[in-house]
Amino acid sequence: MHSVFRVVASTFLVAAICLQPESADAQSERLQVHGFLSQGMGQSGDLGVAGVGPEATWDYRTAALQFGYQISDTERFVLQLGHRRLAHSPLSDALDDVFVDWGFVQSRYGSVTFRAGKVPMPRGIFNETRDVGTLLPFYRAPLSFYTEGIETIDGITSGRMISLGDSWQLDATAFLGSWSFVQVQAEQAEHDEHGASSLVTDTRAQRALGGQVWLETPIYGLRFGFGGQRFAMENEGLTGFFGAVHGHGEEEGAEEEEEEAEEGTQPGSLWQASLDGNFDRFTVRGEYQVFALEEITYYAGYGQVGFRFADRLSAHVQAELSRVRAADEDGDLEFKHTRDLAAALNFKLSPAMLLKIEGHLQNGHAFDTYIDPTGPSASGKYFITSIAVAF
Amino acid sequence: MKRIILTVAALGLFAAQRLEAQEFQVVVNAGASLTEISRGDLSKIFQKKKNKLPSGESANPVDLGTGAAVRESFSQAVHGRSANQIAAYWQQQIFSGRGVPPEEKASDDEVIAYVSSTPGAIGYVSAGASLGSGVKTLEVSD
Repeated sequence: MHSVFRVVASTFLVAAICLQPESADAQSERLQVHGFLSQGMGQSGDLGVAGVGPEATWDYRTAALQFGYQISDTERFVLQLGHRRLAHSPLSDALDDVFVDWGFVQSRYGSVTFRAGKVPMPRGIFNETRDVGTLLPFYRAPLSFYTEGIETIDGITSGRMISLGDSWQLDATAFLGSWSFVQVQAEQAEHDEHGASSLVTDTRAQRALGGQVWLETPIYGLRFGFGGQRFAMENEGLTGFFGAVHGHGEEEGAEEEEEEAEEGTQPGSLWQASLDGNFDRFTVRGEYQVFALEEITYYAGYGQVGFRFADRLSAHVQAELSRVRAADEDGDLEFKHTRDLAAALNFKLSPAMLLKIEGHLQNGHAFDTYIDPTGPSASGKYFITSIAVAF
Repeated sequence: MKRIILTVAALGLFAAQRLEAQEFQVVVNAGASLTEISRGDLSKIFQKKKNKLPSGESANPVDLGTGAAVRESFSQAVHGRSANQIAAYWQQQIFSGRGVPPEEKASDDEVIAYVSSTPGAIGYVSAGASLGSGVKTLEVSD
């Protein structure tokens, strides 16, 4: 409750500072307010996924309110407050009811734009809009690719659009700063009488330097992207999933290594390639990424196809695949993290409101219940019905 | 008979083209120095990919409200896509924090009042709208 009060009070304080002694009309023209909400109802089979459990739940929601203040013709301040509920996921307890999604100042100098603060990280197709339900065919962006955290960068970004002639355009952004790597893990069953206990860790990636480039083609809606970054991942807090995989040797040896690993940082990298085809009648999208630390590499990719077969009705299918490779003195361990096949129907209730019905078949080790990564995969399914609105 | 049908069809097609050409008119503040603008520049200004008029003045685009028939005509003719597609573009821009859409006005009269009182303002109204002294029309070239 205190944190909510602090956030709200801070918001009004910032707004009061930004507002100059102008007429009310002039101030209202400078201040823009936008927002979105996705409210879902989800239910899974025996194995829960991302907070959706065997008992149907309505405690599944994402919302945000964005305040933008045009300081001058070239400068703008943006503050976005967010709210998320993820039912049975431990993230629901870890998140404040209201938190700061972004807070940054943007300055434009000719064709170059700078941002400083807590800035949405330019990464792939959906990273900056991963929770905006009206822009997504499913409740969320592909979860194996757009994992928790890695959403915003605390630092600076610089972007420029370059015309290459004949309607080709390059949109390039570089960034420098740090970001959070959130892991939601399921520990061994003995910690929880329901067969699962989860751990939420938030590790910082420091000294992140990277960028994202989009090549816009003369075909409206078709673009190709590539991006990547290098960073120093703090070892403290890098436990749970990475700890379970890292310690798959003898228990004593794994404990010693874990103690050593908790100190300092380790080098890491994250690279992704994207194809985004967003046309009037259909969409075709695909992305692939490689997330690597010293001894663990996480590979994830997805393909997504959608078709609008009536003015308000569209259908979408999606396949996600992710796997993990770990290397230590016991040799390589590689296992399938997730394979998710999904289908959705979208119905546009109004220009600002979308109804979605989706189903997922999931196989692998990424369930809310702990599945030993060295053992066989498990299978499960879940469904979400949701309404998304944006203004 | 065949000749009559072909003539009527040709006249109809001509009428349709004339109608399309006259569905909207682009207006700019009367103090602006330019008299024409390319379709490409006009599209970029309304998508805020360009923030200056060809004459070098800061551009201040203003849209008609969503659902207006004239807006759909403008969107198809200038952007080459539907108003819904442009709305999706703006949602992407807003919720990635990159920018916000142009000012929206509910009627031709409000657009004209805004353009006439705002330096650098550029908008569009229905073809038959009465303009007044504070605005002038722009030729749109390919």
